Amino acid sequence: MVNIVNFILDMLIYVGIFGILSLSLNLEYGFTGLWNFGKVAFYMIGAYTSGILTTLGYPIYVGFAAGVVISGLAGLLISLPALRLREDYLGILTLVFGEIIRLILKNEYWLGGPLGIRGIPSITPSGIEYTTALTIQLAAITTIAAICYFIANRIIHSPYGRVIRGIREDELATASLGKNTFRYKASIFSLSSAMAGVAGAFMGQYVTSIAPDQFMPFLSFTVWMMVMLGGFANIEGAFLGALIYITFERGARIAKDYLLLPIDPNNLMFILTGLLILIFVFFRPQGLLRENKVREHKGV
Amino acid sequence: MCDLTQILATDNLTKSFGGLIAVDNVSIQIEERSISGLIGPNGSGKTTLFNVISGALKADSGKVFFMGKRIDNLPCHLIYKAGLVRTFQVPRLFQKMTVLDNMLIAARGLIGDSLIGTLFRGKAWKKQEEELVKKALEILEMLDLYHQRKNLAGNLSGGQMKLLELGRALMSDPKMLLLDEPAAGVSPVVVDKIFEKIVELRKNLGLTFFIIEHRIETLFNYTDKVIVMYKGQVIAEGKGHELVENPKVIDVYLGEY
Repeated sequence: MVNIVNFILDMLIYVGIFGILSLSLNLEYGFTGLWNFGKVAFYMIGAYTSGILTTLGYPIYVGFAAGVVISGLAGLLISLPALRLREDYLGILTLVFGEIIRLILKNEYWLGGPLGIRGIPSITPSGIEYTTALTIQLAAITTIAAICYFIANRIIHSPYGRVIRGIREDELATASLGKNTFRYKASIFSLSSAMAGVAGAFMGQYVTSIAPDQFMPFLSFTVWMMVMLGGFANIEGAFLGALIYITFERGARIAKDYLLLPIDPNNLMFILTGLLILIFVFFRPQGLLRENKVREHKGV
Repeated sequence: MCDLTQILATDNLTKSFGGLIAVDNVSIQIEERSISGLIGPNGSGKTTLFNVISGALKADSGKVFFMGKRIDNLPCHLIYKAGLVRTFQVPRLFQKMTVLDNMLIAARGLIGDSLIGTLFRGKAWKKQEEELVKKALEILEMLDLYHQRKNLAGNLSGGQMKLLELGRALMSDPKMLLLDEPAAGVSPVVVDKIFEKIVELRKNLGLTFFIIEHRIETLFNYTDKVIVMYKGQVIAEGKGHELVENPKVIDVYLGEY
């Protein structure tokens, strides 16, 4: 029975990691209307920055902090040219950016090369029981996710949140009301990238090895599916979407061992998630949860 | 050029779209604390002139001065910061936000509208918001929109949307307002209310207004001067009663008046 407990703990840890990614995409797309198909790039930058530093012997918190800062800066850097583009071009550019980063990491041997980085120190001390280690990991990712949630929650109920929602609805009107829309887009893009960075840094120490091929563009689209399932512009939905998707993915992985199928059972997961997305697009395009309402003002 | 009594001046302003010259060598002067009207047939370039002045479109040539400073190279948000605020002909409200939030977003000098301010100065911006809410509610009350404050802007009627646009512009403490048909689709009683409000705002706050409007009677009653545009050019300028007798204006705009 221990296996099931471990299985569920591991699953929840991934819900935490992907919940953060989906939350960060929701801040960008759901609230601001920025098309980012390169979420994986910032996840990868976080994982690599932290992985490289900690294997060099720096403490884990330094690795995490650097992962957050470097991915945030990378987000800011790419936003400078990219955010001047129309939304569809921004989508293409971010997608390409993710691939460029992956190919650089794959070809630069001093950054790990195709084999990536192994033996990343974990936050759990070695020699403890596996279930205990998983519990510690789950507690850690829950804390990080809670911090990200707190920041997002603060943003969406604030004047800043009002401006980014305004940009999503009508950028010219927002600019005519004195808002430097570029600054807002760049700052939310950078903040979201930093969030993706911390998720990556956490993942690196959890699985203790990372390699470029873990960061295929498909991962960015997985995060998009989570946002679509949970609901656009809903920060709770980000985590709900991650939970549904990951449960579904793992459920299909187990189910294929018990089912006799006329197809390659490994494809079952893709078929089922495709079906799920289709059902959502047809019957609930806004996702499960509706947009977070802005908190009511005092004295109104 | 930069006479101090003139708050807004354009100097040979030109804007064309392909072969169409929408604004053709327009030079106008608007005096401070005045209410000026802009009329002309559809497609005569009135809205384009507003778009160029407010920075939504870039002029091909010519200059725009606001309070003695050139603003024709500035982006929209800096023109707003200088105190020149405009409304749109087709209301550009944030449909998924409440009426009140539509008002608040326009306020000037918000502490919480930068990322740092939002995250680290929570108490300060919350206190500021409370004061701004009071101010916004006063303006909404004046515009008969108070009962709609919690509704989504997208659910308002066409006329109410126009009023909310005006309210949003007022929320920003402007020095000068460019109003693009503020009374289109608004009932006659409210039209008079809007224009009376405009006169009052000029008197109390010293605001300057430049208004595109098709109701000439209303415009002639409330404005100090009216500029007439036709095919991108200014063809006449003067007080309402002078223009009624101007044959050019009768020909292109008024018809058998």
